[in-house]
Amino acid sequence: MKRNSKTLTAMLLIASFYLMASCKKDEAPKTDLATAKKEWLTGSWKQKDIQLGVSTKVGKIKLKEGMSMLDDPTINALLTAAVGANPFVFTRDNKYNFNSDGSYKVDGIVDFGGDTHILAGGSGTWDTEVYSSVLALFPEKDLRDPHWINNITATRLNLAISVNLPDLGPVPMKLLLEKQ
Amino acid sequence: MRTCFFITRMISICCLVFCFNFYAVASDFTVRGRVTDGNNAPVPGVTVTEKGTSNITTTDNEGRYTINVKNANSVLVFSSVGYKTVEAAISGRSQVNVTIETAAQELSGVVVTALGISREKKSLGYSVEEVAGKEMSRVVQENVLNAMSGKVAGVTINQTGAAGSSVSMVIRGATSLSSDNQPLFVIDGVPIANTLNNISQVGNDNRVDYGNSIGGINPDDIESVSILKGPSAAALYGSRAGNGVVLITTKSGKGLNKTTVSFTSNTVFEKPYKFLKWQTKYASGIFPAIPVSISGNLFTDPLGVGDPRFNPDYVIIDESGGAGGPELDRGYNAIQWNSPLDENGNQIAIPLVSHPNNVKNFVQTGITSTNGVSVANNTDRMNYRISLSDMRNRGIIPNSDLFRNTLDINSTLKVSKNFRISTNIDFSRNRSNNRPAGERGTNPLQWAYAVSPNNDIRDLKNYWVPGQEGLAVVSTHPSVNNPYFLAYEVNNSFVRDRVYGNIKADWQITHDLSLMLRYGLDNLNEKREVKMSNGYTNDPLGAYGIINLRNFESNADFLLTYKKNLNAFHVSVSAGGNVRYLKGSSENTSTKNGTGLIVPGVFTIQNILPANLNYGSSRFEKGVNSLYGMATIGFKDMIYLDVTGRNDWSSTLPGAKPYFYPSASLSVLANEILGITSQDINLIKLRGGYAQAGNDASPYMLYSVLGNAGTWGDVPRLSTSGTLLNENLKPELATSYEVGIDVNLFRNRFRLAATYYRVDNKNQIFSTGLPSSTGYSSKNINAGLLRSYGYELTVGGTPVLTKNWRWDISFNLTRNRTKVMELADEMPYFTYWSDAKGGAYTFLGEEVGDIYGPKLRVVEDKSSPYYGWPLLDGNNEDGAKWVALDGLQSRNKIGNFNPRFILGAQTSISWRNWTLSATFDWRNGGQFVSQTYRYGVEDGRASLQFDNFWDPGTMSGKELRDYLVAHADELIIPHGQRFIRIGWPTPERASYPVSIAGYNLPYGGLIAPGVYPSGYDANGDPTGYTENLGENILGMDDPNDKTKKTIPLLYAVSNAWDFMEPTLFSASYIKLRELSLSYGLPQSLVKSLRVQDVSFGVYTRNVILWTKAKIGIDPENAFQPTTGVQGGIQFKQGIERYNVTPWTIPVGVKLNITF
Repeated sequence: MKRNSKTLTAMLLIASFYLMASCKKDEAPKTDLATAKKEWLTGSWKQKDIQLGVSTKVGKIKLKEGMSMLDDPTINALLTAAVGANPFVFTRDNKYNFNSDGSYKVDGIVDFGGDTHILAGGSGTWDTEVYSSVLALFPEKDLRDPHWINNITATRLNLAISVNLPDLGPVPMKLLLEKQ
Repeated sequence: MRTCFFITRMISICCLVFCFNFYAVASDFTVRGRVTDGNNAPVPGVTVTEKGTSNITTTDNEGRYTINVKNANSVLVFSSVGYKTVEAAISGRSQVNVTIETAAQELSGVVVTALGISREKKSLGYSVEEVAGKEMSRVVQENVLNAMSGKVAGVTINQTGAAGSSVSMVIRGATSLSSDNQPLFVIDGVPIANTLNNISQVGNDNRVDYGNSIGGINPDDIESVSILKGPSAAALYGSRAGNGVVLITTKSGKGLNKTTVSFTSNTVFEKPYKFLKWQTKYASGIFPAIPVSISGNLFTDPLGVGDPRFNPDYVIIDESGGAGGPELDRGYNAIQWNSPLDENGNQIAIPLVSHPNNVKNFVQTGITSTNGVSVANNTDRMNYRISLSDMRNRGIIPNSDLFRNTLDINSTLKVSKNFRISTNIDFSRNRSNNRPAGERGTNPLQWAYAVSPNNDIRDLKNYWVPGQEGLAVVSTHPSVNNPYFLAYEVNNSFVRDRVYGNIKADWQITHDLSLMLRYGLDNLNEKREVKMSNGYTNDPLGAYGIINLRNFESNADFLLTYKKNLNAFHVSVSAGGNVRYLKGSSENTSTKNGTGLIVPGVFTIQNILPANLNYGSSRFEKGVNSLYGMATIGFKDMIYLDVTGRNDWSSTLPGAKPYFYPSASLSVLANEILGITSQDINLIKLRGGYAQAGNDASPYMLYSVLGNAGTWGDVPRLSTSGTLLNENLKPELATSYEVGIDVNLFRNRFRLAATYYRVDNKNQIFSTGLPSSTGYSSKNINAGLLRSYGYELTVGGTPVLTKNWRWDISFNLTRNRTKVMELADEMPYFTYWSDAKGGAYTFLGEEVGDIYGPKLRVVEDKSSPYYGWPLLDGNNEDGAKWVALDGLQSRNKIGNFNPRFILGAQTSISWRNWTLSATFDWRNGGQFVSQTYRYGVEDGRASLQFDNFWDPGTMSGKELRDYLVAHADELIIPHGQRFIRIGWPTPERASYPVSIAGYNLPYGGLIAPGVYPSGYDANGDPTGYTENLGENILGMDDPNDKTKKTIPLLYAVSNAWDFMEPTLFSASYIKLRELSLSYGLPQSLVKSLRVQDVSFGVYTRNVILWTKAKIGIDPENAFQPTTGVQGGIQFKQGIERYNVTPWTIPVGVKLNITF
């Protein structure tokens, strides 16, 4: 009798656990996004494109957000007319390496001379800030170059950059990268 | 020699006596005996106590006992539940046998019934419940009605606001659509005025509840309270009995037998501890900005973009409202209202840090102390009691208080053997220097909760701008009020003087015939004065006003009673009459809203420009004459039949036409009929009753009169009411049926009472709308039928009764439903109130208290894969958002403000001289709307909003879409409060780009999941649907994709403001209303102190308050003060707006000394 009651108790406990487990809601995976973003950032990225980050007008010419700074013929013509060549085309094969030891290095061109550059420097250290929504680059000890992460997945990165163009000043752009 | 012999003998006797006394005092003395009842049967379990000591024993099964006493001259006290207590002096005897009588009266109880007639409870064919006076004063309450909460089945008591505000008491549900449904209160036979309509307003939105006048009673003066719940019990009050009657009997000094002085001191401290669930994470503003120097993105500080103060190192915030601004405690800086100035006079940005305890820092510990003294005595010729009391309350809102002083004189003089005169006079003064306003406007709590967490409320404490004292107020923004200013500079004072009482003569003309004559009056004068300094946003130039209220009522009545025993029958016949006269008047003089005073801070009427003066007066008189009769026939103490009838002639009804209110009730004592003599079956009573009672019309409901309509420029105007009055009005009529059973078992240690009732309330007096072409907006009609029905169950007993222990416990259960069975032809529903995008409407055949709210527009095409999903508005400028359909048109019932049932429990455990008592109260079911949370969520202040922000983790794009579709019922389709948005205000979690005024902000967007029409056909029906499920956000991936394009909402405007359900909360709660521990000093010690009795107590109120809603609001306070609702009722029930007094932990101490 005693054994039976123990068995019954055990069965009830098991049943309870089973019922509780089966009642548990199917929740979304709660990976911390900030941690994931930092993990995703770490690695080697190949440049896919640089796009205009805002719709604007240059003279009478309308430029739309999303136009490629490398391949759009209108932009190409404007830049060629302004500075003799479209410097963005030289960045086409850029590779951006954000190493797990906190250092970064760009294989390619980020500085067009003068005040015009994609990033403040081609190497240094990196970190994420503000819940990994900002990629902060430190090409020098006292120089901080923050970039808003517009979008990131494990394989794609859309980074906000601001490029100082002659006669236009700082122009918001999007640096599109693909994980290698 | 003879002398010597005499002296020697006297000395010997004295020595003997001395020795005997010495023995008696110094040695134990054993006393034995037997306790029997009237039938000479042994009575086991009788407690035998040596009086004045803790020396106790009990009788065995043979009724025998043995007790060792200290003193052979002691007195033994024999007590047992169901028997009269007997005292027997030992007088040196070693054998003391006693016979104890069954407490026939205690068995069934003697209760006060209509017209103050004391009746044996067993003879009543209807339900009457009694609350003992000690229950009313065990724990200090500012309003005596609060002491009844949870103690009586069928009674619902609600504190409508903070301490000092009106307390509502509704018996067996609402019976009237047009009145406040409050019962008639009768003190020592004299009806006294009481209403829930105690709100007045001087100044814009300065609504103040000055509390109901029943709160002026000193609970320590109450001997007992009888509650006549249904018309059967109350029918003898005729046209005043529709809502039940509460009979209060005051203490009179009877039974004391010597001059007794009692002193009572009671102090309770109330520390606020629970507040609204307000977030402390985000600062003022509408966007959680991040300084550009940190983000590297200009659009993370959108308010700064066009602001001349823009600086990349700090953010620009908006203090005008809302708390959806930058995240606090992250090292961000902002220019704030109290920013210091640099050498150029420019404001310096200061750190954005969180101040999580603003409201806690604003409120204070409340203190209520009550002190009372009474002198009482009774002799063969007279009895009297005089009491004085003083109550002082310091509210938890700064600068709020409440005072009450009472003087009660109660005396009876036996002029001759057959003639007695008695009188009771009660004087009371209730006053306050400041009652804080409720609702929104000048309510200090509203603005304390509006202080954003980036501001420290204590910085607002010095509320005058330096150098502009009395003229300008420190505030975080010109549109925002300073809560300290409102608390200290909007003073709503009042003084309410009241005298009520009666003089009564009782003449026993013959053995069978008696006559009672009585005259009673109730005179109430109240003055309210409002002083508002310059600086309140809605009355920037201040306000001032005086309101005078007077109410007088007199009642002269007589009752001639003939009682006769005729063999097996007992007959009692009474006939009586009442002449009631009442008059009232009011005057008010004040500034018109928004106008102000000529000279700031001078609060006189002459300081108001004539054009800005608002004034008015009103008066009324009313008379009701009544004749009534009652006959009771009892047969062999087995069956009792009561028949009553009352005829009222009221001056407020057309032609003072007579109305008759009859009742009949039957009580059958089954245990007597069946001849059950077992000591374990003490009472089995079946009862039933039928009755009609009424609700009279108020004055001025028959004929139009001219009223003040203000001035047109300087021209005074008068006008008639916009309501077409009714010259053929009838009183509301309640027809009641009730049946019940009372069972007392095991020497009355188990008690059960159950009642089922139904009350049909017809001829409802209310207003119904008229087309404007008639010249009126509405008309008063008699129509409709309200049906209340329900049951009441009381179960109690004494499970433990031993030498040292006694445990009493009782439960009471109430369930009431009220349905509207009929309405006027043109009325499909009755409106209690409309607010918060919905309202409390009762449709024909449905239950009073139903709440209707907007309905969500959904995809109705059953063939669509999106069937039942939210059909969003994709053209909404804030982003794709839910669409609300009118709740009334769509008959979308979302709740009901009445509870499903109420369960009360009382228990008391005694051990020797210690007593622990507790009162619980569980209200199950019902809902209420919190407008406080509605605004709080919309303004980003309530942390509740975050519960609806679903975190997708690392999912995005198609993965997110597929997950949502797979969990559509949980994440896409709103249910109740759950209106899910995907995302988070800041990048702390997934936060989506959002388009504002043509700019795409990088985060701050949330997604309302669902679909929106991709196009419309000629009928306006959707031709297809676009998914708003996280893919193709703002068309960034493919601007031309019509099947999926997600348009996020800016966080600050993402809440479901157009719906009522998100802030419709469960009103269920459990309260430990009272918990007290008292200790009475042992009689031996008390006697050595030369006093009669000394007791101490500690107690607390509402220390456990569990609410299902868990939002820091007491559902009992779900009342919203208002004006202009049906019948002039000044509360909307089931909805609150800033009625959010913090919960407190009260700790009280009590001392009673009786000399």
